[in-house]
This record gives sequence, structure tokens and C-alpha cells, in this order.
Amino acid sequence: MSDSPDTNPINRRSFLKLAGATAAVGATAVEALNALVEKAAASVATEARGTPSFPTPGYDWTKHRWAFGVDSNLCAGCLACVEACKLENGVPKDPHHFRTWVERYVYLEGEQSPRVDSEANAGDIAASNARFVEPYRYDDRYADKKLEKSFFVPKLCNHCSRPPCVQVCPVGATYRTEDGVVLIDQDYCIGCRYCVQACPYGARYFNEQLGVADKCTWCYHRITKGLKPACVEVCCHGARVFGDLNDPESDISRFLRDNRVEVLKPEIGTHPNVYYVGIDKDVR
Amino acid sequence: MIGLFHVPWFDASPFNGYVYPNETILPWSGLIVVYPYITGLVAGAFIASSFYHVFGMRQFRPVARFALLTAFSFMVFVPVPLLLHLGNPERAFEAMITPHWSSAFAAFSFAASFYVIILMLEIWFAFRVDAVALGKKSRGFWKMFYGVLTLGSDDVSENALYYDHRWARGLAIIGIPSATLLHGYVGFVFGSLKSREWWSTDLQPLIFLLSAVVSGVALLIFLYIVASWLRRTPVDEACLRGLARALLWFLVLVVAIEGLEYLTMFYRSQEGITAIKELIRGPILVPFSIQWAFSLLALILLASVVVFRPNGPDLVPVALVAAVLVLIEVFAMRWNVVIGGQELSKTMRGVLSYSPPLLGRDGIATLVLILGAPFVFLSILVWVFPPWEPAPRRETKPAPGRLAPVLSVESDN
Amino acid sequence: MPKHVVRLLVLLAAFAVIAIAAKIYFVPRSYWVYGDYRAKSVSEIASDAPMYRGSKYCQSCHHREFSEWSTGVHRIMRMDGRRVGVICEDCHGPAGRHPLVGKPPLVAKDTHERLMDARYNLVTGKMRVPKNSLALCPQCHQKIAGRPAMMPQVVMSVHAGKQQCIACHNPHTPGIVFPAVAKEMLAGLPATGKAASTQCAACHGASGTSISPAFPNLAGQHRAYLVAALEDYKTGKRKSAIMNAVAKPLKKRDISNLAAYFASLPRQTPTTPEVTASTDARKAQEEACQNCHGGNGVSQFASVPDLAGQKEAYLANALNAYHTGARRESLMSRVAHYLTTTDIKELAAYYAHLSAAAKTPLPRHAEVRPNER
Repeated sequence: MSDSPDTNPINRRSFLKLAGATAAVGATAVEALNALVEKAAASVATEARGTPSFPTPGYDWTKHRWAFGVDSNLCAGCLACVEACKLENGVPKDPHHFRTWVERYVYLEGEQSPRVDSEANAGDIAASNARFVEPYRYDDRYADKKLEKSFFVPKLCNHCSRPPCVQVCPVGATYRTEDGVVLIDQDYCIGCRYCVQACPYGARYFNEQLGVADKCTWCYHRITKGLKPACVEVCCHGARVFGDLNDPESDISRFLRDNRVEVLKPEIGTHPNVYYVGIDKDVR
Repeated sequence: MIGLFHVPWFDASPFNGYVYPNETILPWSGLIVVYPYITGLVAGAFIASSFYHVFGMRQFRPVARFALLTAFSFMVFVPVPLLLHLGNPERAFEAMITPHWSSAFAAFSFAASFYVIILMLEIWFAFRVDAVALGKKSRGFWKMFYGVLTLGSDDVSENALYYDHRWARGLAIIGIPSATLLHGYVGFVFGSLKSREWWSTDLQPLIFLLSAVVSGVALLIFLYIVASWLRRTPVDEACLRGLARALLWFLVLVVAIEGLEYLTMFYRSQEGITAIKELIRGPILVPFSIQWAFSLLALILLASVVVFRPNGPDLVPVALVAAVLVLIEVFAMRWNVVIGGQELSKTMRGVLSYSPPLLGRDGIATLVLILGAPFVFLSILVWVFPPWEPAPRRETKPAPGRLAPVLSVESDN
Repeated sequence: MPKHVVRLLVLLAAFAVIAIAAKIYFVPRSYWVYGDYRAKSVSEIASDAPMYRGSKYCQSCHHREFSEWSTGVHRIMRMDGRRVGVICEDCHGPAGRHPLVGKPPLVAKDTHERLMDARYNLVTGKMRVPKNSLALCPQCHQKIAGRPAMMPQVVMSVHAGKQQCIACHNPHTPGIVFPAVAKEMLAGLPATGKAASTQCAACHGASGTSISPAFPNLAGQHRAYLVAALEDYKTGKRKSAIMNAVAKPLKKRDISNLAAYFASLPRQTPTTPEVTASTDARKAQEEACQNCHGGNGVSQFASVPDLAGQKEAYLANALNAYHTGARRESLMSRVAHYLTTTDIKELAAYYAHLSAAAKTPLPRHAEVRPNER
């Protein structure tokens, strides 16, 4: 809504004139008008497509296809990524709003199903509500138990090729870019939370202060400048891999070549673009 | 410095098992329970009014116009919980200017507006003659008021009435599918989400639709009995019995289909069944019990109306109790769907338990206010447009193949 | 058509026209450029400023730390196609607009409370220097369930107690700094020792000052002496029914920690006035004791105990034990052999009432036993 009128080939006055003219035509002109609107939009489209530096200078979004890899074998659960994400993107600091988070799966001897911990389990995580100097931390509450196996699984938005969240947005405030990133237009989001419901991975949350939905953008403001997402940047263990599928020598291309990967909840047809290595049957 | 202090502007729900951390704040609160509930009442009341207006069942004539007003006064408040629930309500109009058609919500604003217009037009045609008569009787502000309402036309000629009949009939015929779609679509809003095991069923639109009709008819029974008691007029027995019978058959359908739905769910025993059982045993135990106990109780009461055919003094309390039971039962069902669905984690390995706050935007107080407002609005409407019509004389029958007269020219105004 | 129906249709038409005009007016111009969304929002999102700037950014000013880091195990390495290593901002927080002191220019979005909150550390423009390494390092190196085995990890409370990690490790290149370790690790960890000292406190007092005249004070005693004593009790070289049983299960690390703890406590100063010993006893003290135990009862040697303010009965018992041969030590056995019962009594009383704090203690020598000098 903040578009400046000078970028607009058809200004408001002429639209209003058009509208005024249609008043004479009457209600039967509805169809014709809708066609006009689409035509006008199309003309704007041609103009914008002609601009070479869209969306950022020196970046052509048709030349990239981003993807993300997670190697659960390497994740040490240090939560540096969670902290970095919160700082990089202004995510609320409480343990109920995450763009990315890390789950811990613990199989105890003699138990059928794993115990799954996450930061939301505030009672179980020391300093879960602490400020920057005391970041989220996993405790060792299984110190006196016998473990069969245990591992960490980093989670984030899967940037699905068929995103259910985009499907359900009533106003088009969330969309998938041409380089394969699902973004939220927070200046346009009405805050209905339908997308939060629709995400099968719990990757979206509602930002109560802004009244809009929020989620991981793969740090779109970083990757369009040639940087890596903040969580990948700070990962000390090489558990997070990010790159361009169009570049065969990128980290993610190598990751996909070198490993047998899987995705989360493949059965629901979302076609995720976050690929996992080393996760277990119980990981959802 | 703001950041140093934690301001709790959300309520996180406690949970058992494995849930995604973002899930601990339920996206949809009690407001979204109230929304399908009110929508259901609207759809139900409208369909009840069309028993007479479209299908020409003359026994429903005493409540036909009242049902229209009921539907309208509840419809006016349908957007309230939705707007209150939005993070940025001032942007709600975006859903109309740039609707994203793949979303089930995008169509809502259009469907609802369309339905409101249909409803307003139908009421306008149904009450136009009354408004003209009232305008002639009154003076000052009220004369102007009725003048605006009648669009400055006091034409009640034979020709004008003929037009009115044709329009009213046409609108009612459009209205029924609109009402049906409007509510079936609310079911679709929930049923179409593959992320939620508890919602994701093909039967969801049908369940919502049928329970909507049930709740609307029950509301009409309740309001009719209460209004008659307030007006100190006897309840029309044939009308009430007809309503009770309609309620019974729709309730039978609802119970049967919901029962089948649960049977299928438990028989299939897919991945989430353990968590579903935990959900029913835990967070939604009370509303779930209410839903089923009250449905069955209402079924028994209504069946007794059909079997024993009680008259006047016995019929009224039985119908009233059954109606109230159904109203509560449908609300519990809405709660179980909307809140219950979110209390079952998307991981299908954990269960959350949501408890609504007392005050605040999502508070119980707000819900009560929203649910109470339509009743206030309805009483104002009834005061401005008295909808009551005398019971039809037994010997008159609607002309075959023609629409029953919508208006009662011979009525006491 | 009747008048009212015509008017109604006109009304509806007017409504439709207004609605469509409103739609055209309010639709954002870049909507539908690429799809059902505002194309401009893409560039809006992409134009946000990155907060994490990478280690290269830090290098331009912090050369020394950067070169330390880039040769150590925390440096960035390419392993199997992955980037492994701890970057500056992992511990120091995002650089953001770091060198910029004072409030950075606010963009419209920054006025939101959420950003002020989240970037609180960034707004000040100062680099975070973690003060509590014991809260930071365990983030990766604490041994907990789920952490892969290849990750170097320790149980912090056992490994270092309350000791800061940076006492032995340089966080920029965290191999072990051996000189520092030798000193610190041999010294034992007072904090850990304190945690293990509850059993000792029963006799030797919580503050290391004994509750009974027969049990020695431990507070402020030489650490090396305490280590030797405990080791002797452990091996049975020195005999005491209680202490042999207590010392038996102690490990070398425990002994070292306990000794460090009691050595770190302040020595109790006797409140009673000093007593004068008889000529014989004074002669013995002047000729024999003070060579090792110091003129004021404070020894110069780490392995020789301080005597000033020690419990009288304990001192007497110890001398008696040396005298009778129940306790053996090459030098002490010889000295005690010539002492009379009166001498022992007087010497014990003399040292017990001697205030060590009153006189300046001599500088302590290295850990060399006096008879090896």
C-alpha cells in the first residue's frame, strides 16, 4: 500500500475516471471491468519485468534455485542457530516463537517411543526464558538414565514446492518466489493465522506484536547478497548446508550427491526443499 | 529497555508428548469457535424460514418472517469474531480487493456479503408492505426512517405485490443454496487442511452443514417459545410440533454421520489414533461428553414428541429443553472441532490443553458478549418490524405449484 | 416495473460501481506482477540489512584475535564439503553495525518493539565479550544426551568445577595452554574441593577451624602438606582410624581439590595471649623448629606445615607420636626423640597461642622439602 504513484504507469486519477465512466455503464459492466483490471495489472507486470535489478541489485532470481540440507548426525544441539536466527530476524525471544528450532530425540532403554524435547518445553530447559547472555540450552536430564540412542534434529521452514500455507492465504500475503523461497509480505498480511494452521511442520508462528504471521525466509535478505542464512553461517558443526541447486559445485548440490536424503512428511505431498540426513523413523 | 522485561502477550498451552514449539500458542482461539457457531445458526434459521417461503409448508408460517429476522441479526455478527481475531483487522478489506482464490477464506467475504445482501433483500421484500403501512401511521423521525427503508415508494398495488412475490421467491431459491454453501464451506475451511488430523475428513462440510441446520432450528424453537412467553400469546402447536419434528430428523442425520465419522476413524486406526484417544480422554473430555450426551438426550426427547404426540402444555417444555440441549451440544461440537483440532499436535505424538482466558480479546467474556449481541439486535429488529403473523386457518391451503403468499395483507397492521 | 424495484436496482448498481472503484483504487500497484502477491514485497524483504557479518568483517580491526583464531581448532575448515568451525559471532554475538557507536539510523521497521528487543545488543554498537565462559563453552562442550560422540565434550562440573574455561583455554584457539594447566590443575580446584568437603567439616569445621582440640585446623594450611598428609593417610603410611577410612576412597584429583580448598581458607588467629615457654623448650624451638616451621610458626616450605594457631592437643599428640615412633618422618622423628614430655607440652602451648598474622611471614620458597635443600 506504500507504493509510490510515480512508479505506476496508470495513476489513480485515470483509474477513477475509468471507474466514473463505468458508473454510466452500470452493473452489467462488472465482467468487462474485471478484465480491465487484469489488463492494467499485466501492463504493470511488463514494466516491472523489464527492470533488470529486480528484486535486488546484482541479483537475478531466475538464475537460482535454493535448497537446504540438514545433517542430523553432526548437530550438537548447541542452539547457536536458534539464537542467531532470533537476532538476525527479530523473532520474539520466548520459547514459543521460532523460525528455526532444534528438537532432541532420546531413546531410553526399555521404552517404545522416543522422548522428544524442544525449547518449548520450558520446564525442562534451563534458562529457556533467558536473555541474550544466557541463551537457550539443552540440559542433561537423562544423565542417570540408560540411553539407546539420542540425536538432535534442526527444524525450519521446508520452503515446500507445493506450500499449503501459500494455498490458504486469503489475500496473497505469502507466496513462493521464483528462486524457491516462501516469503511473507508482512505489510499485507491480515493476521488470520490460516497459514499457521495449514503448515504441517509447525514452521509458522503468529507474531502477536505485529499481528502478522512469520516464518523462516532462509534469510532472503542475506542470500540475495551472496551470504548464507544466519543459521548456516553460525553452525559450528557443519550440520546445516545451504546452496544453489543450479550450481553443481555448491554445498547443497554436493550434499545431495554425497548423501541419501529424506524429507519430512513426504506423504502429504508438499514437496519440501529441506533435505535431511541421519534422522529416524520417529522424526516428524 | 523494553526487551529486558518479558511481557506476556500470549498464552502458551501446556502439553504432553511431542509437539512443535510454535504449536504451543493455539492460532485460533474461542473466537473461531463462535464464528462457525453463529454462521450455523444463521444457515439453520434461514433454512427453517424457507420451509414456509420456498417449500410452502404452511404450518411454519408463524415463525417464517421471524426466522428471517433471526438469520439476519445473527448474520450481522458473523464478521465480528473474525475481525476481532485478525492481527490487522484494518487490512481485512484486502480479502475483497485481492482475493487469493486458492484459499478457502478468500471466498468467505464474498459469500458472506452476497448472502447478507440476499438476506437483506428478502427481508426487504417480506416487510416492505409493513414498512409502508408503518410509515403512513408514524410521523417525524420514524416517518423518515420508514420512508428511506421503502425507498420513497408506497406502491402496494396488485402489480407491485406481484413483483414482490416473484422477487422474494427468486431470492429464497437463491438463498437456500447460498446458506447451504456458506456453511458447508465453513466445514471446508477446516476439512481441507491436511495438516490437522482431527479436521482433515471429507465429511467435515456435511457435518458442519447438518449441525448448522440443527442448531438453527433449535434456536428458532427456543426463540419462538421465549418470544411467545414474553408476548403472552399461545405457542402455535402445529408450528412447534413441525419444528420439533424437523429438528429430530436433522439430529438423527447429524448423530448418524458423526457417529460414522468416529467409527471410521477408530476402525482405520491411522497414525494419530493414540493421540486422538488421548485427546478425547484428556483436554476435550468434557465438551466431547456434552456433545454426545446432550445429542442423545435431545434425540430421546424429540422422539417422544413424535411418538407420544404431547399437546400444548406438555409439548412446550419438552421442545424447549430439547432445543436448549441441542444449542449447547452444537456449541460443544464446534469447540471440539476448532479447539480440539488444535489441541491434537501436528506431530500426532502429543496433545495440548487449551484453557480460554476469562478476559481479553479471546476471553470468555468477549465470547459471551458476541453471542449475546445478536439477541439484543434481534429484539430491536422485532420491535421495528413486528414479524408475527397469525397461524394459518386450517382450511386454507397453499395453491398447488405456486409460492405461498409471503405477505399477510390481512395482518393486524 | 414498479418504482421500488427500479430504485432498488439503481441502488444495487451504485453499490457495485462503488465497490469496483474501491477495488481498483486500493489494489497495490505491484500486485499480480509475478503472481497473487505484491511484487514489491520481495525487494522490501531482500533489502533488510544482515546482522551476522562473518569473521572476515571482524578481521579488519581485530587482527591479533583473528590470527589466533585462524590457526586454532575453532577456525573455519572445509570438511567433506561442509563448513565447520566457530565464527567470531558465535560467541561475540552478531556484529550488526558494530563499530558504529551511538544509535544507528533507524529505518521504519526498526521502530517496532520486536526489533529493539531482539537487536538490543546491536543498537548499542558495542561488541559483546562473554564474561562467563562457564555459561558459553558448555553450549557445545557440555556432555549431554544427543550430542554426537565426535564432539569434544566434558561434564563441566567434574572437569572444571566452578573454574572458568578460559583459565586453561584460550577461547580463540582453545588448545590446552600447558603452563597454565600445570599450575592450575596441580593446584586443585578449591570450588570442587569445597563441594567434597562436607565429610571433613564434621571434625575439621566448616571453615577449616576444628571443633575439637584434638583435631587440627586445616584453614590456611600449606596445600602440598595437606596433599601429602591425605596421601599418607590413604596409603596407611600415617595412621589414624578415622582418617585412614576417610582417605581410602579419595582419588588423586579429590585430594588435590580438597587440599586446594582448605589451603584457600583464611587461617584462624588465636584470641588468647601468647605464652612463654621454658628455657629448654625455647632453646629447642630456636635451634630446631624454626629452621623449618619459621620463626613465627609459619613455614617457608610448602611441604612443611604451619604451626601458628594450631590446636594445642593436636600438636602435643603429633609430637608424642613422633617421639614414640608411632608417626615417622626422617627429620621430625629425630627432633622429637630428644624432647621431654614437658618440652612437648610447652611447645604445643607456645605454637597454639602464636598469632601468625601478627608477624609478616617470610616469602615462600618453591616446593622443595627442607631436607633436600
